[in-house]
Amino acid sequence: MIGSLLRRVRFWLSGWFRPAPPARYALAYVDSDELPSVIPDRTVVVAREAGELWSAGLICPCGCGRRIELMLLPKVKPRWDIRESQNERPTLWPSIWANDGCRSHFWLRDGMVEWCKD
Amino acid sequence: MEQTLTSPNAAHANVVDVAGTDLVFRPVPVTDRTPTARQVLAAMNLAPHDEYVVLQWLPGRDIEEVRPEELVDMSDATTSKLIIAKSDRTYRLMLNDHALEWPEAEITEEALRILGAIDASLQIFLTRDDEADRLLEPGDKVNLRAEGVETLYAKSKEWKLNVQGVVIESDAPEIVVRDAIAKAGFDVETKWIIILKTATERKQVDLNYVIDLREPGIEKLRLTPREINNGEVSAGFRRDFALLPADHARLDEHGYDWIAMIENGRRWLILRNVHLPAGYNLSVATIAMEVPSAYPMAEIDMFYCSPHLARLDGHMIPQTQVNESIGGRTFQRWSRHRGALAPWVPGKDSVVTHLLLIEESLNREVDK
Repeated sequence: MIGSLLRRVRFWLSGWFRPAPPARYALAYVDSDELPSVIPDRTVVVAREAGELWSAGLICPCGCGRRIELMLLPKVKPRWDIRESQNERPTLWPSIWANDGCRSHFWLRDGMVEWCKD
Repeated sequence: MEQTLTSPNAAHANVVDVAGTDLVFRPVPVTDRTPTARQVLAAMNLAPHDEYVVLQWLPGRDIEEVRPEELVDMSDATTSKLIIAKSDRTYRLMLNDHALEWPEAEITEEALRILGAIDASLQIFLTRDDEADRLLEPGDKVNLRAEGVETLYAKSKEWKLNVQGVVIESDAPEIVVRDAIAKAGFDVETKWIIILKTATERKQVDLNYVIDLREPGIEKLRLTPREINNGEVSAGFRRDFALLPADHARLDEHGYDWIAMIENGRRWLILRNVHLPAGYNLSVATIAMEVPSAYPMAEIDMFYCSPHLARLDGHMIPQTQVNESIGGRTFQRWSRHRGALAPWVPGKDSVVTHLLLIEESLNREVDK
């Protein structure tokens, strides 16, 4: 009882002094062929139905708020591949390029956004 | 004439078609040309007679009970069809405005199809008061025990399609993707990635594709806005002019993200996300070269970088002071020319050999 309390206090203290983690994209799945109406910030949501990956959705990292949907189905054009790293972070390739609006162009590697300088 | 009436053939002419509730009819010979219901039961050795119901399926497709002493209507031999079942009552229903009596408390969808001559292109519905009429699926049964006369009707199949969560109905069994999208209330002008989802495949289709709703397992038309591109597709974006086929192949082979753009009559080959050697302020840049209209006879000269490159050690890069605007962006012109020792050789030199010069120039600048 007291031991667990001490552990919690130590955990709180260590939390205070830990540097804020970089804002990485997390990975989540929904059991559907479609993305949910709301995609949480900083999350790549994958629509997966019966083991089949349909698409990945995320909110644009530039801050414009646009919802980006990337097809993962084979043979669809354009399409992307997604990989989950050991720490459950998403990697998408090739790069993601909005052809209107914010025109963001970036890579998502291991949950981190890498902007393309073009 | 007298002879034919007494011949064995004449007896065979007195036949009624009889079925159970399975509606599988078989001929039953009867002795009388105008038999009563009781005589038919006797001919079939069914007793006691009062435990059976005899129904006649009339030419107009109504079904009526024939009382034991009532004569079976033999006026139209082709439609002298009797339905006989062990029962002490009949149930009444209406099918497509025809009044039917039925000897069992349930009737199958299959029997309704036979009785109403309803083919497979039609669907049968049971009318209900306070809710949507019930569509009968193959194998379904209608319970006739409830009070009142059950009313059933057949109508054309409604072809349904789920378009991104919106279920649309079509009168025709074929629908063009464009019409389906419009009918579901989506903007046809939006560029969509359209996937036709069936039980067995996922197929990317275009607006002009015709969906055959009769094919089993058509499930859904799934839409995704086509507003995001990937590196592969963006490379296919702009091809204002044609390079040599060999150039095109080599650029693609090396994975270059390139566009060929004509601006103010000048032909630009632009390579995006080119990796730079260490020592510059950037790790990747966009590099352009001007491809003269007389290429490959005329030489490609110099190259252009965007954003501006600088050496990390602060040393100036010579002959890069001139700016050039290409596609609305400012490029830094690298005035690098072939010397007399390595002149442009038509047929040997190309975009690809020029790229080697660019690479060499970029490396040389930071190797100093």
